[in-house]
Amino acid sequence: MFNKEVNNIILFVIAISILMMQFAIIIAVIIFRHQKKKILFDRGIEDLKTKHENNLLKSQLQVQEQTFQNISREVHDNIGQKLTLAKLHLNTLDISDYNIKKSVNDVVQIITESLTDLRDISRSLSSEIIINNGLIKALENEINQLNKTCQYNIKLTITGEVFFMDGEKELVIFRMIQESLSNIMKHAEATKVDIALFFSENNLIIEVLDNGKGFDVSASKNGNGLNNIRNRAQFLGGLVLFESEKIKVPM
Amino acid sequence: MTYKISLLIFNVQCLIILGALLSSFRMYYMCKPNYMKLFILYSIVANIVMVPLFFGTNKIFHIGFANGLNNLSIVFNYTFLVFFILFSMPDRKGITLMIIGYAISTCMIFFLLINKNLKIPIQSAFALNHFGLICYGTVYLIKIFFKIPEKLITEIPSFWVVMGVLICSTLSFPFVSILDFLRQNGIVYNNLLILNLPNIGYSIMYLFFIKAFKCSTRK
Repeated sequence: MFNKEVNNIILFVIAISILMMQFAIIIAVIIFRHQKKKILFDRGIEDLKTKHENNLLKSQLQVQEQTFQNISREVHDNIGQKLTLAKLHLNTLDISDYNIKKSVNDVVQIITESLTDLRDISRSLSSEIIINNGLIKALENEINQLNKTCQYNIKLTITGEVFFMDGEKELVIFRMIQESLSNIMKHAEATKVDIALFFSENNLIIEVLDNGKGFDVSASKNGNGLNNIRNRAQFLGGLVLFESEKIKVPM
Repeated sequence: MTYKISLLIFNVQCLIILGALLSSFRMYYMCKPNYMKLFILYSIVANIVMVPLFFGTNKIFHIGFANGLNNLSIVFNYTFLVFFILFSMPDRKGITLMIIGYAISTCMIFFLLINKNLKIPIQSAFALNHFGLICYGTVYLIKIFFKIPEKLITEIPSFWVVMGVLICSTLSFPFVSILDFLRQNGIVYNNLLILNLPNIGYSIMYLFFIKAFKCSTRK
């Protein structure tokens, strides 16, 4: 009887011990599963957010591109046509006075230059050149236009085996480089710009270097131009790094 | 036969504790978060208590001194683990209440220790120690359940430490709490499984500590 009681106590103790241990382990397992579910849920939300942001960015870029196309068409078809007509009219004028003729010739010259400039702008805004000739040709064309002004010495270097991307990607890259060049011209007071494209397996590194006055990278985080570049890179799943060696603060 | 198997289990436990100390030394400089570095102190004290117990149990030295040291180590064991758990909690809510609870339970352990013969294991003090640790460990688990950390819990060293403590305490507490009662009633217990439950619990706990150390060195 006594032994039976002791055995019962022992069995009870073992049962309690194992139950308590199981309870602790079950709680831990529940927490682990709950956490895993939460992590998966958070990751899902994060994915959706990224997808949504990318879609938004894509629409933004498409709208921007559409605007560029409209301006390009307007410049080429409307303003260009009107200037050509004005030039034609001026050329057909029968003027005997030497001084007036000289002035008219000067005006014709200005209109011709303006037409060339407008054509360049139109070509620069248009995506046709990229779609038809590819990124490299479009870049070379853009650089030639800028070098023509004699204010800048822009060089393009290509390293590695060039691979072709779809038109949309090439257009985005082209616009990024265009934006960089536009920023350099507006703010950097640079005379020399080196653009380097490094092609490696499935990767493209673009480096745009100038000899300008530099800028405060942290202060210009909210700049429109830089943000455009950043957004475009994000759209392509890329990364942008802005570096500046010297910052001249105006006294 | 029962004695031999018990001795074997105890010796395995000693080996695991030594292993925990060695692994803590080996990983000392790589430990992250830094609080795990302090945990080495626990392994050192465990080994200081374990060495006389090992020799005493293997009948090389008299066990009285080893038991005394083991009894006194309850206070360190309890204080260290409680503060480790409190420090690892995801928030500080109710911390004052928990510290008051710790102070009261420590006073009770002290009272039990000074009123009994230190040369034999004071099981009621051990039981109180285990009970307190179960409470704090459960609070820790409840807190991380309601405030899930960003890092996966299996990658958090303190989680493994608390789980080790919980498993050891839940396995030991029921048996340890009735040991004094059985002894006072002259009941001879020779059931191998129940006799070795605390030792198995301690072995599991130190294995979990080794896991915690490994976890803390993972980049």
